[in-house]
Amino acid sequence: MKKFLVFLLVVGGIAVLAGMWFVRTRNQLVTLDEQVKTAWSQVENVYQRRLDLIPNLVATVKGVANFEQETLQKVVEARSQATQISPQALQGAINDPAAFEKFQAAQGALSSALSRLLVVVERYPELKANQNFLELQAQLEGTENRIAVERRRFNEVAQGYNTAIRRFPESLVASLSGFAARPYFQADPGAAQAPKVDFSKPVPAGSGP
Amino acid sequence: MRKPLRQTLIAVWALLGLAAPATGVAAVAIPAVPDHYVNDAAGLLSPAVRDALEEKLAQFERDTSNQVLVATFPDLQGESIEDFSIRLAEKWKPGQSGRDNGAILVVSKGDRKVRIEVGYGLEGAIPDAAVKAILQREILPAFKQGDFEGGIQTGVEAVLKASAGEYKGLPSGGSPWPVLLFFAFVLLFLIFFFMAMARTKSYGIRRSGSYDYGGWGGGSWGSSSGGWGGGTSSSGGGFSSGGGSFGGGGASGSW
Repeated sequence: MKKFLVFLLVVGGIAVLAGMWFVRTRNQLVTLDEQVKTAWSQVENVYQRRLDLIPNLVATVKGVANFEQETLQKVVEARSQATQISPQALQGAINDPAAFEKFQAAQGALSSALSRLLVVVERYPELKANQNFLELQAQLEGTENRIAVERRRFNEVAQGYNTAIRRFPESLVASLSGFAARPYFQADPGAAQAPKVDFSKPVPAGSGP
Repeated sequence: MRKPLRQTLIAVWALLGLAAPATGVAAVAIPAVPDHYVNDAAGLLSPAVRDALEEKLAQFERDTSNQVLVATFPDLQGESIEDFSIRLAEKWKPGQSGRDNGAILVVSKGDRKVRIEVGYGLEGAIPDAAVKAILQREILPAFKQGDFEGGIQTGVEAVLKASAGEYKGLPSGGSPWPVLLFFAFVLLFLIFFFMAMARTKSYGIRRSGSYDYGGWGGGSWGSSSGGWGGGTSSSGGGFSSGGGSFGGGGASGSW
């Protein structure tokens, strides 16, 4: 009888300890998960900042006579593609690798369209002397840098979280509580190579629209 | 019990080079948080100019609580100045925590690159376009002629002018009277309290004095009231990181 009581106490004690460990681990994972979400909203912010800049940029560049329409059109199209992703889909993108992929692809296309635009601009001295354009260009460069910073921070935080939910024995808690792995940002495939611009085409001079 | 095990695992992980697979290579080691505003590892400044700048930046912090640093490096071993300077800012954390009013002028002599990294709280006062203008008007022309001293001096001057607008109503050393009065009351109260308790050692009083003091978040008040009750050691000078945050604001240029 007494032995049974001791046995019961030991088992009960272990169960209580295990329960405490479970709760503590789960709370740690919740904290990490919240950090990922915060980092993600920062990523959203800086990308939104870029989207907000583009209309002004396009308007300024448009004002220049004979600006290469194709380049401008690509920026406008890429932006509208990127804005088609709804805020809800954007927020849920860290739970949904496919949506995340889509977001990254849309923003990547916009990045390359923009970098091409900034290279083409070199051919238009009129723009290079335009104060308004120079300010927008500086803002755009700053925004691109902020995007790089927030992407890196997101990857770091997501990595900490992903490592935590995969590490044994925390992985038990994670799978029981439904913690899923978060996607990472990959380096843009086109980021390493500079955009190609055909400089052999002469700048159309004279006749404005 | 699990902590040491985890640390060992992390160490092994790092040794195997498996850590941070998604973040790329970190090239140059970031120096430890300095205790000076001007850190001239590339040797671009004469001692006289360095000291003058140091004093100017210390005074600027006393006046506005903004922390502006200068850091020069011989080269960055292939890392881009943008990547390097954000890592630097994340480690040195100039600016007061919560206000995030810090900035760093980073120069890499070997790469011929310069960048001004601007903390979150100063992004409004010094937007990227303004930083770019400072670089192009003040710093780069001088650097092109090899005049690093002149470029850094006028550049810092421009940054100070631009950022002084922010937090005008909240200077750390501007109007200490309400706070001093508050502390005086607390001190008086404590003195009476301890006298009532018949304890004559001044040690207890001082301890509690500095405790209340610490509640204000350190850095910003440290320099403004150096002579007050012996609570702080930073007597008019020396950088002590306030814990500001950065998000990649600012601009870069090359000469």
